[in-house]
Amino acid sequence: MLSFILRRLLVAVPTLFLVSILVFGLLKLLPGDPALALAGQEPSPEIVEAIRVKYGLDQPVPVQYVRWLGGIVQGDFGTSIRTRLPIGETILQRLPVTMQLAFQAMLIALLIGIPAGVFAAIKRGTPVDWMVSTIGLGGLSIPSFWLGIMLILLFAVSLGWLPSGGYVGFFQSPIDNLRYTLMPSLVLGTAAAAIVMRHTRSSMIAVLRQDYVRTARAKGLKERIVVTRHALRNGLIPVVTTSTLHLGELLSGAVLTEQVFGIPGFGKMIVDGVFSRDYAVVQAVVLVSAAIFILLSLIADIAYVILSPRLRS
Amino acid sequence: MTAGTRMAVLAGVLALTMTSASAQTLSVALQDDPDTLDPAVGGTYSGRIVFDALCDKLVDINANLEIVPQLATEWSWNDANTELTLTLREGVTFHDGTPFDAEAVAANIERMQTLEDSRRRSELSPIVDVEVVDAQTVIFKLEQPFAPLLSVLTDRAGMMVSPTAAAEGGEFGAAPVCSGPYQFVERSARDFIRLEKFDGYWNADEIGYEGIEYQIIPDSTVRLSRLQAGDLDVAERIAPTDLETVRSNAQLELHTAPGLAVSHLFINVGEAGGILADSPELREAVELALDRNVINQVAFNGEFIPTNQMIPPSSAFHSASHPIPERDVEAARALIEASGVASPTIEITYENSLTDGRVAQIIQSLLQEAGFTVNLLPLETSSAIERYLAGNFELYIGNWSGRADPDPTLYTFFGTGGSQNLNGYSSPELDEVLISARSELDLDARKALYEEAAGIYLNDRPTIPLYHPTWFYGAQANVEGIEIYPDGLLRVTGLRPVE
Amino acid sequence: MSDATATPLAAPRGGNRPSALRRALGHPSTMIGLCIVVFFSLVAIFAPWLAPYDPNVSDWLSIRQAPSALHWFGTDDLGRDVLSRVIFGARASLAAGLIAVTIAIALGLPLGLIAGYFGGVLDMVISRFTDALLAVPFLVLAIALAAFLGPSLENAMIAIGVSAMPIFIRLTRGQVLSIKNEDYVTAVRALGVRDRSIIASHILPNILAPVVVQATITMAVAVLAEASLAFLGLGQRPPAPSWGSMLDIARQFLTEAPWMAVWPGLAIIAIVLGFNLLGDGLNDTLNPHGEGD
Repeated sequence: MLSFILRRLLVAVPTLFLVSILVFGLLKLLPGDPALALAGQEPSPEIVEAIRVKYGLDQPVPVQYVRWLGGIVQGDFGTSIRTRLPIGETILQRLPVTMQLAFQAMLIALLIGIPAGVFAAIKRGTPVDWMVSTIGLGGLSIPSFWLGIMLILLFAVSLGWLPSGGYVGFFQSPIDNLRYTLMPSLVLGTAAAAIVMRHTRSSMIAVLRQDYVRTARAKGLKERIVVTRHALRNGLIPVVTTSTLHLGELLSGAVLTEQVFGIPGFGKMIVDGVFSRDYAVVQAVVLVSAAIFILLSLIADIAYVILSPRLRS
Repeated sequence: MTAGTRMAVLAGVLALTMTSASAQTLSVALQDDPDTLDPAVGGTYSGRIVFDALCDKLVDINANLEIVPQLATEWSWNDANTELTLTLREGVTFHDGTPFDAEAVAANIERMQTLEDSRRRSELSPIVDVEVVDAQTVIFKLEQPFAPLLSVLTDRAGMMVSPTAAAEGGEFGAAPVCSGPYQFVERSARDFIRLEKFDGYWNADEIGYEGIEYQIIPDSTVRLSRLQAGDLDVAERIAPTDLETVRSNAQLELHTAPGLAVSHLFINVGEAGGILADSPELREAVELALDRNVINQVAFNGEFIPTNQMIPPSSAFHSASHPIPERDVEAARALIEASGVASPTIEITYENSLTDGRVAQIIQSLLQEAGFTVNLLPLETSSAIERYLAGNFELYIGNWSGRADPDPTLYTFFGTGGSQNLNGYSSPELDEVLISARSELDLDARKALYEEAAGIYLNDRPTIPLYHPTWFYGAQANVEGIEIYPDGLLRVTGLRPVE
Repeated sequence: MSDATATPLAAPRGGNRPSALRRALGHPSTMIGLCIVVFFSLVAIFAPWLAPYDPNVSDWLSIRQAPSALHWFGTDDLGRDVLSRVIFGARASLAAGLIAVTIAIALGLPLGLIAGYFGGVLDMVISRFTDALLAVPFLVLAIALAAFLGPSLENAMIAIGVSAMPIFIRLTRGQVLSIKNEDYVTAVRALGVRDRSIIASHILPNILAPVVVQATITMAVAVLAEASLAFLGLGQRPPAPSWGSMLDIARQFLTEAPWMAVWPGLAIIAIVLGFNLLGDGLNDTLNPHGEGD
């Protein structure tokens, strides 16, 4: 087990290294000069030049890259050119916000997706199955920002039950925190629920065909018991692993959701960084999101190995 | 990752302790995140709002744009108008305990004139020497008279930071130390800025809140709804379409002020310009085809101020003898005919924002009715600025924040070599008028000169001003003492909660 | 629906061509999905004839008017007819989807072929590169690319296409690897047939089915991504309509003009659902590795 984890980690390092080169190179290749974007609301040529010199943007690209990577290796993600605040600290403030959203969304997704998927699998091939599957596809087809807008229209503008945006930290006020994160979690959870449902359905279909399930049925056990006691336990293993992987996808979804709800999370940090051409922020954030993705796929693999009895033996 | 979790827990504990902040904290919503909080470097409007609480200036303006004392209690010019003597307030200290005196003033001027990425350099360039007479007296020496100097000192160029903190090196803007009524506590990028009351403030009696939390909320709908919910005390830039909601809510109050800012259709009249560059007739046709009232009604619910000048009506230097021309599509068509250009095509470049996008589309519609073909070119910030600075545009929607004094607006845009003169405009006649206005300290004589200047640039049309935004602050009715000046800043001195 | 659409899909199945076609079309998802996609394609093509008004012409006297007999979907903040803008918006959406997917395949397929067929160092380089790209969330990559290229529909297409490319590299490579070692390919190789003709006549036809399925699903993703980019102000230039940018503007008028937000969103859902249904149906019937009946 340990050697398996080590091996996977060893593969992750060069991948991350490549990501760093890709991100850095891409941002340098593309048009647009960060010094210009940073020149403020009333720019002048002298200020632009001064910024360029101060942040080493006048240095050759490889020199800039080595400096940047050297910093990252020592845990220094650099300074935001715009606010002059350390990026590492900002990431540490933002990441927990998005992680909370992602976990709440995953909770919603599992609560809806697993029962729906099991139900569709049992009713496989019937119009009911097709209905559930199509609703699931519908969930995948809704643009998150539109769903967000509609929820705001309903719960904030019309009914006035929930705030239309913003964020309050959990430690500041747990109840307010829930009020502010409920709609964004629902938005994120919708697409996730659809995915969980689809995975549950196909996994359950496969399991229900297995010999031991047939044996259980043949023993005359009630279908409900067969499904819950025998099939579900094994059928959910791939669901657990794909759900872990999907937490990474939620990061992507959080980009627009946080934008719509004005939540100061990691996703919004990406958009803000991109729009203000804060290269240092964009580089750091993309690298960290790649690292999170790689970490999650590692966790998913480990979970699969642990959960799946066949592989363990 | 363990280090990460430890930090996250730490952040959580920190957040927990923050809840003990009393209800006497003023929470203010800002539309944009300020850039660095260093007055020598800062370049954003929202940053100036924060600076009002953080950093005192040598002098300030009042609601009528007159110069009033702040850190300097008195000032006088010598007979040649080349030496400005300032008497400084006694008993002022910076947040770190460093005393504020003439040496500190000299150090600040030097810092802003020499700092690598200072944005105050050109503003302070008329000052060639600073003489420290005694602890409370300082003289700014100029090569030639420069009337706008005091006005320059009412903004960031007049903000004094602690010389001790500035000398320490590092990023000053990450933990600024000034002498204003509030001192810096912490900041989270694009989230919040927290300040707490500075007990050693010279005017502490006028400070009614224990702390201020500026929250960054870019979406105006969200700002309004959080104001309505009582989460916020003050919110800046309420959207014009939301004003009715604030006006009709008894718990809220709307505070407004006509702004100094101007949005204008900047015309490239230089070599890089298009057909408008060589044709005064076509430029006039553009102006006549516009309907500033439609722009104001459609884009801003009629709440802004339509204009044809760079200097707003709230300023004493606005020219009353040049009213906004009426829309005249027929006359515009006739001018196009006269110009000899068959089916003129023009391109409007602008920075991609919803407001400018809307204004550009309205202009496009209006001009097409007169026979122009208008292409729109929205660009993201850095490409837009790149083109702007390079003068690579036909028409550009410019947004200028304005200044209390007319010189930094008119000279920078229309003076030959002005820092915003990026459209190739040059008029020796106008240069002469603007330069003589700089050395004229008599108000009426200056007014007459700017009247003359308005006549020249309105005739030459290097730009077509469109509207002056009005400042709209929404606030809880129980926040007392809010008064917004034309510079649009929330002045925290004098604010207090009423029971 | 026509043979022209169905034949290339069925081709890789070789002998059982007609049955594959019939099976694909017999699947209810495929049929419904295809109908939706065809419907929106027709709307996009015939937009000038279908739209009651010019989508870009403002009527200053009817700004933000609720749906009525004159304006079925209401008017927007500049007094333009929302229905006409939704109809014309189909063009941006479909064009973005089609061109982005074409770019993704044009870049991804050859790279995947090279990596899978030739192996070795080339494979390693391409695969590592693909891993790295896939580690960056799709939308994050697309937003960053689009923003740095500058806001326009063309740049949005390029950004989405490049971001979707690694999916096709990985898919093609995997398919090629599994086919490369099948007996008949090894046999042809042993006969000394040139690589190029092996790829053209044996490998390509056999990987077409999964690529087509993936392309259909990626269409859904690309259309959603275009809407997302436009929503962030990174798409179609004004005044030409795009559903995403219509929503961006509508967001500011939720209290005064909620109808501005409803219709473009419903249009996006419908068209994305269409592609998803089509992709799902094709996957069930065409994909040899899928769990079809």
